[in-house]
Amino acid sequence: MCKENIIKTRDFGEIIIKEEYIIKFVNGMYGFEDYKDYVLLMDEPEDEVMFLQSLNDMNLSFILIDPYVVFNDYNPILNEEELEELKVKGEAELKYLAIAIINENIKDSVVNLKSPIAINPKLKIAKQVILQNSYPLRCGIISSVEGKKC
Amino acid sequence: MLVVKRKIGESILIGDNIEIIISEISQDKVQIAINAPKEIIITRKELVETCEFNKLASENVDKICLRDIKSQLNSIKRK
Repeated sequence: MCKENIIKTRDFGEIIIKEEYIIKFVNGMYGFEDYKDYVLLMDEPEDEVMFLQSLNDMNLSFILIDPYVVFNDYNPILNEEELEELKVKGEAELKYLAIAIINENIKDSVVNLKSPIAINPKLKIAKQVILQNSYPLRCGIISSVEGKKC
Repeated sequence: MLVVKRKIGESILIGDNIEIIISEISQDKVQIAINAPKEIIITRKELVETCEFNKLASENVDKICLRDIKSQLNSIKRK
């Protein structure tokens, strides 16, 4: 049950993680379909920025942020098939994280609200979903949190 | 860009062997049917854009930029 694994990471060196923290991706991420196992890492608890570290390739890691920080009324709509794959009855049972591109000029950093990662926190299964909602694929992080448009 | 108006059941032809038929229209959605040779790849644009976004997002990030964006997000959250 509580098996521990030592993993190599891109940003945190070698770390020990409990097996129960491993998140299995249905179909992987778009463009990275072969990589299915990830862990969520952060510098400190309650941090706004998270790392989605691949367990299949230590050099593969994505930066994620809570989409609600950028957009309060974020309300993802998934289709029946996606809900079934994630083994939930409705969207409210899922946790959502958005992938970010951090630019050297931080004002140009963007987050993808159109295709977030939906996680079933109980079963630790996840899927990158392309939402029916007409959310922007590139939403400026700083301009949005400052209350301006994406 | 070419813009044409079509009704349900009408279609447009692209080249000799691609047909796009308007099959259903609702308030904010259009259902289209596409007839094309098998070798033509048809994808939703956002799928390709998501792949491109992921590729860029997977690139290594400058630690200083990351620290800056974190401090901005954290300070806004505290407000």
